[in-house]
Amino acid sequence: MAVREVLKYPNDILKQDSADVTELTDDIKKIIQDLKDTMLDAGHSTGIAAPQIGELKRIITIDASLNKKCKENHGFMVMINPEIIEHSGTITSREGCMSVPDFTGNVTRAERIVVSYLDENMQPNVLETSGFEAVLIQHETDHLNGMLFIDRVISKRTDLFRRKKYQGAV
Amino acid sequence: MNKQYYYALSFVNTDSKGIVAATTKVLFDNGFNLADSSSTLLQGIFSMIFIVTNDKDYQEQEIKDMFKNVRSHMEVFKFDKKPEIKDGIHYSISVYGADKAGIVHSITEEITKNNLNIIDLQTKITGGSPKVYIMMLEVVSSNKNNENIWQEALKKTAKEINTQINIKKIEFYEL
Repeated sequence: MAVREVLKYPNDILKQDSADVTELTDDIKKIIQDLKDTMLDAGHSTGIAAPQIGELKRIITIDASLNKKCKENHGFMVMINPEIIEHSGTITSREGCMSVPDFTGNVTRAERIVVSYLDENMQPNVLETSGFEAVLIQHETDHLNGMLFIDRVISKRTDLFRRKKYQGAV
Repeated sequence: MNKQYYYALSFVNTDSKGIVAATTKVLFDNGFNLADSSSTLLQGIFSMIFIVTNDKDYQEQEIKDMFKNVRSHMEVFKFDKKPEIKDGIHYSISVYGADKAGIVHSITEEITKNNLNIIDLQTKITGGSPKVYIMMLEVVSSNKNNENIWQEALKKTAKEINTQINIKKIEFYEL
């Protein structure tokens, strides 16, 4: 069990592609545990991706229930090699990220997604979700492709906001 | 870190070619840090506002003199300390309707009466006939319990001036 440092942009690791996980090795199990510990230790975080702790592996952990306003969710989940295979609709929300602590930004994403992934026992799963949980999965999956929310902001003038202070989830 | 002095510089220019490079060169050469900025073309007038910091305590006229070779109308405003930003719940508001005088005043007066802070305001006017006026605002409320009251008041005001209004709370997601 270890709480790891959350990397912050401009750390170059955050802009790199992550590799697929092919085998549940002890190293992969440790990364999963560290992601859980680091996410929960942050207090305000609802999700984290492996590159944020310096591991270029396609693993995310999420818990949409940590957002009190998210009534319908699937709770804590580990997703290995997640892939969004269907999406529909659009939803715009103002996102904040532990790796870009000084800004928040308006990002438009799919409102509903279907995601395929392997669970923490490497068993294949498919999940359909919408709203906040769908935004969360898309945000964390972006990290696996070296994408940050600031890459998806359309207009700096109207969509990117300097934080007054780094604050917890609403 | 040395004490930092804050300055707001505004520039208005009809001939915008090279104006950003020329302006920021003066800032760079004189040791200013660019803390924030907003620049856009308004009806052919290029308008820039820079919030800059420097550890030197300049008088406003001293800064104006630095820009004497930059062809632009400019103003300088000096702050003794970093201005505070009030926190609260953010809402986006859009108002649109047939163009006529008083739309911005009527809506913003009602916003003020309800103790909301405007943190962003943009207006556009369509080129067709009749012209349509569009206003987009972001406001911050420090009181989460009076949402219905001020929203109803704003909707009433919008109706009185024959405009449409949409108000949406901005959801903030920590991911």
